[in-house]
Amino acid sequence: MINVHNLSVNHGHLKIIKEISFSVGKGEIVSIVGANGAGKSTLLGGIAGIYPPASGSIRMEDEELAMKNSVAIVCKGITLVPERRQIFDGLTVEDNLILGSYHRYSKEKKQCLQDLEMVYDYFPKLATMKSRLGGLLSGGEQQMLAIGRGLMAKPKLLMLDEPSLGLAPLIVRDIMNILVQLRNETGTSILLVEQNIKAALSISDRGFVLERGSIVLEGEAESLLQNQSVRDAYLGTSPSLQK
Amino acid sequence: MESLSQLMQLLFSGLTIGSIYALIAIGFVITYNITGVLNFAQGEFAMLGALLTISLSSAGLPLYLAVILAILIVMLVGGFFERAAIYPARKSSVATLIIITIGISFVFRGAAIFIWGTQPHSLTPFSGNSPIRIFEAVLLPQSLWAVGISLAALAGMYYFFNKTYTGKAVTACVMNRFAAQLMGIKPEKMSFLSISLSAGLGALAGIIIAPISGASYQMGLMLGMKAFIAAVIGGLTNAPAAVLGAFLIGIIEAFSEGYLSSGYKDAVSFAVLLLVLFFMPNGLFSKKSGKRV
Repeated sequence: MINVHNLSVNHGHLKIIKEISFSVGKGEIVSIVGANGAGKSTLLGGIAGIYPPASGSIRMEDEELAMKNSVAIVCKGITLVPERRQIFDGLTVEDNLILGSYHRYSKEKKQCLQDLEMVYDYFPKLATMKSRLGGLLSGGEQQMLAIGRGLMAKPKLLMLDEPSLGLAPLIVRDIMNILVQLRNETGTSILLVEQNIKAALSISDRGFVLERGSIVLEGEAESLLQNQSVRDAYLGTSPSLQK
Repeated sequence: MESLSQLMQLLFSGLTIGSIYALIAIGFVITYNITGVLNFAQGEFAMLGALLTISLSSAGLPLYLAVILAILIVMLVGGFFERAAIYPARKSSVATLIIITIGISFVFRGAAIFIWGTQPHSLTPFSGNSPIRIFEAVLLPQSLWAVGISLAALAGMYYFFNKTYTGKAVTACVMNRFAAQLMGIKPEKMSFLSISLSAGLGALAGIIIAPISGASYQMGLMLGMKAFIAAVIGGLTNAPAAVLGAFLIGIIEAFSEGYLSSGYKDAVSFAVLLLVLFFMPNGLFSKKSGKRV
């Protein structure tokens, strides 16, 4: 569904993402994993139109998106749920959600209000705190709100940047389960960036390991989890550590 | 009894002028919140609104029509000003943008001299001139109009920003510009909207004050300065606090005019500004805030 080909993204003079190619199919969950500073967030920002790519192409359904701005990208059906959630902390939960559908609200208000109910079905907890200010929610609730807000844009591809950041393992598991449920029920493709490699790969179909701006390893999620070098580098099972 | 009536008199005039400052100060706050620009041409919108209304009504239009038309024209001028002067320079430093707004204010003032000349003009009060007596004090109907229209406009702003979808989108853009962009909200569009809205508020302020103090090409400077003081007292980002600051400045001015000398009123306002900046640089009403990360 989305094909990224030879994409490079710079920050100033620094080349952060170096000619990366990958694809995400319809209804697929794909993880990009890697350490701090590997360029994971920059890659998502590049696709979302936050950081204009230096070169390469991003094609979705035969349309070139690489040089479009962030507003156009949202309208094309790619939504980024940003790192650290970035919710509107002075607005209520419901306002946060409803603003998620900004790009289509004036055209299909009714549909947006229906989708709001769908989001409440996925996150029943949010339905109990509709009028609470976003900033007063717990970290896990804020993450659910951020994902719900992303869903309100009705994306074909939902990109999530570190949804597990700072959350308790149980809540991480809840959120991962909801992502799987979402994919199964709506067919939304999901591109997941994580440092929590185990949690991410365990719900993914495929995965990539990103190191210093390049993909160093890719494959089925299951095989990546079993891969010895992944286990050594990221899962803390290195024999030298166990001694 | 003499002193009470004088007190009431000064209080009324303080509230009147305070309500004018409040409208312009809100414009400062809206513009600053959304664009990060301190718009020192804000006061000139008041001048344009007042003089346009005077011209339109002396051309034969009924007063209410002249007022509405003048506000709309000033909003257009504000929008044009944003597109032509702020938008192309939006990536420049804050200092550059502020200097641009100061330059634009000279342009507005110069244009006003061309069109309306240097002599002051007057506008007839909205509803007669027969004073109302309350507590031995004399209250002009125009003062009631001033306070009433200002409060209505402020209520309208509150409704817009908190209850309407577009208003919430603007608010969201203020709270988190990055996330707003991810949702498809265009900050440039919000910047256009906010500056023309501020221009409309400024125009309204100028129109209300015109029957009380007259209108001339240079009225915008002092109005803008006082409203700026009010906005700073309120902490520059907080609209309700700016309104309180505006009434505070209005009342302080009226009292220093009445009890000291009218020559001192501007000096007293600026002294208040300096004191606030020295001792409470975040504004009189700032409170410690915490944020979950």
